[in-house]
Amino acid sequence: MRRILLLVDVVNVWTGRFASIFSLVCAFVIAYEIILRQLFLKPTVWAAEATVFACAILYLLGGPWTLLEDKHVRVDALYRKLQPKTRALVDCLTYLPFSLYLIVMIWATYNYVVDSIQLGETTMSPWNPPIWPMKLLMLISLVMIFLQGTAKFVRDVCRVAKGTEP
Amino acid sequence: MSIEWISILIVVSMLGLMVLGLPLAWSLGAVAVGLVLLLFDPQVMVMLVSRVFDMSLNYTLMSVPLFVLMAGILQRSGVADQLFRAVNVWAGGLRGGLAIGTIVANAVMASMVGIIGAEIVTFGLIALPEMLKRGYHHKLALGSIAAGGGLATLIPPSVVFIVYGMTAGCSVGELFLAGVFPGFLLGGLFILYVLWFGWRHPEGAPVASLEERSLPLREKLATQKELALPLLLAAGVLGSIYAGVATPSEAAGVGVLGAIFVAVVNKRFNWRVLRESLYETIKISSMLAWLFFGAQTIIGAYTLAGGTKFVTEALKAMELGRWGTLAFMNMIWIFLGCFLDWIGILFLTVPIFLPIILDLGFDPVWFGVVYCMNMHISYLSPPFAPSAFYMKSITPEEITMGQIYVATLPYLGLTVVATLIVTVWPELSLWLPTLLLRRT
Repeated sequence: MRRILLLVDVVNVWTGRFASIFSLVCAFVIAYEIILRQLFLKPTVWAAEATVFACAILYLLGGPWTLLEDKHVRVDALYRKLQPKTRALVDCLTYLPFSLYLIVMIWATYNYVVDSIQLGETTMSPWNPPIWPMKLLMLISLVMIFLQGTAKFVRDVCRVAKGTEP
Repeated sequence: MSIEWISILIVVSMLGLMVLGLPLAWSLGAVAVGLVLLLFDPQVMVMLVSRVFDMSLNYTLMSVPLFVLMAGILQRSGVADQLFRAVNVWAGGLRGGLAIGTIVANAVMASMVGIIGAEIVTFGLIALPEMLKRGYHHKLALGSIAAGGGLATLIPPSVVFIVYGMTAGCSVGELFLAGVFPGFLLGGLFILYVLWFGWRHPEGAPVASLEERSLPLREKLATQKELALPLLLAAGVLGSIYAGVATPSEAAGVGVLGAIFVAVVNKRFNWRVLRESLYETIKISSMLAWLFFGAQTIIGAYTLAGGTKFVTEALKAMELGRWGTLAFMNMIWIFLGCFLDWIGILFLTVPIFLPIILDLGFDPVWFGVVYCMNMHISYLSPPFAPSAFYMKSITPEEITMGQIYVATLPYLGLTVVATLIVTVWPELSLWLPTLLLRRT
């Protein structure tokens, strides 16, 4: 069990660290595009879309790591004052709505991705790349967020039941 | 089920989940999913998913990671130290000169950095020890840093304006310009307060030492050289937006490279700085993006259930009049501001308020500035005052939370005054964007 939990952590940390490079990539692509457009009057067809994709990769793959590091904002006026054990118990309760959201989203996104692949959907822009890889990435991101949240849930259950982490 | 009950159910369940400490992003989404399963066919979820997906590819959202990365690198590049030094050589015989210098340095830093928190931590570490060492009253020292740090929300580039602009569907460029003069107004009021404090309590606001005052003019000017590069960067980023060379997102991208350049010139650039900035950027941007995704689902579901129309009609039925409605919204913001931060308030209220505001014939850009001023109030108002939390994280042990709250109170009062001025006098915010962007 402990190993599975650690595996989820490690995968999400490294995916997030890798994805963090995309903000810098985005900045360089923008600079490249501005130079081509303003100095050589030859705008690229792909830069604007590529930068948007780079940032989408950033948010989608960064989501699970942000959850692991507990950086998603919450109203902590009350939560902050709870004892660690009570907090774990409350987190176990709120895992229910959390998993409801993620499971339904995963189901709907799965249908959304399958449709897109079957249609061979593209972005309909001058560059016109296929769009399904980005949609698939959203599905992967939702699954990883769900797994990371579930890992936290398992740890919280242990903390409430045994007083220690697995 | 009637829309009244649905609305009450949404508010109650959302507040319930938030109080239990479920992150806002999941709270919004969970309520949306619950609403869809309760009212509609599950297939509606696919439509909500497509709204979320479109948001992930939103062109304006892109400027958030870029501005955050720019701020992250600048913050680690030693620019704040230079600013503080360059501003304070002019303090001279002025009582409370260092506190005024802190506010001015904050305002200048705000023109490069768009997030609150970063500034307070940076200047708290630089300016607070300096002021306490020279015998400044802790009230003056704490207050000027905590309040000055908030100027980052009003002075462009501001992440608050980007997020508001996306939610409200108005131009980020116009919002940036509209925030400039209200930002000056607020900074000016803060400085007047410091002067008044120095006049009333001369012992708590000392003048600079004789040695510092007798620094030859040439040496004073030499410190100004270090200002050139950061100011050039700020001017470049904002100038390229208004000259039409680049969109705000593109300007932010160029700003990142500029920030790296500044760090290299200051010999502060290394892998650790870059890595820390990148990691911070992905976490802040993912946090904001997933909030946007959650907001997309709940706004989509609520609109489908006829909710936005219902709220508009309910508010109209209250017959508060134009300004009454506005005052009512302001009170909701101030109330929520005691418990929530600006992001939560924005996602909960702006999508609902905005159609009403447009209906009443108010300007959405000016409304954005009023929102931002309100967030400045919320940012200083206890018990949930983010500025005080940031401050506490870097102050010496013996300074209590209570002392910080008391120190920020005068600035809170001044912010309320400034908010009133900005509200009753829309031209203050709107003349600059009208002059530069709304050419007809």
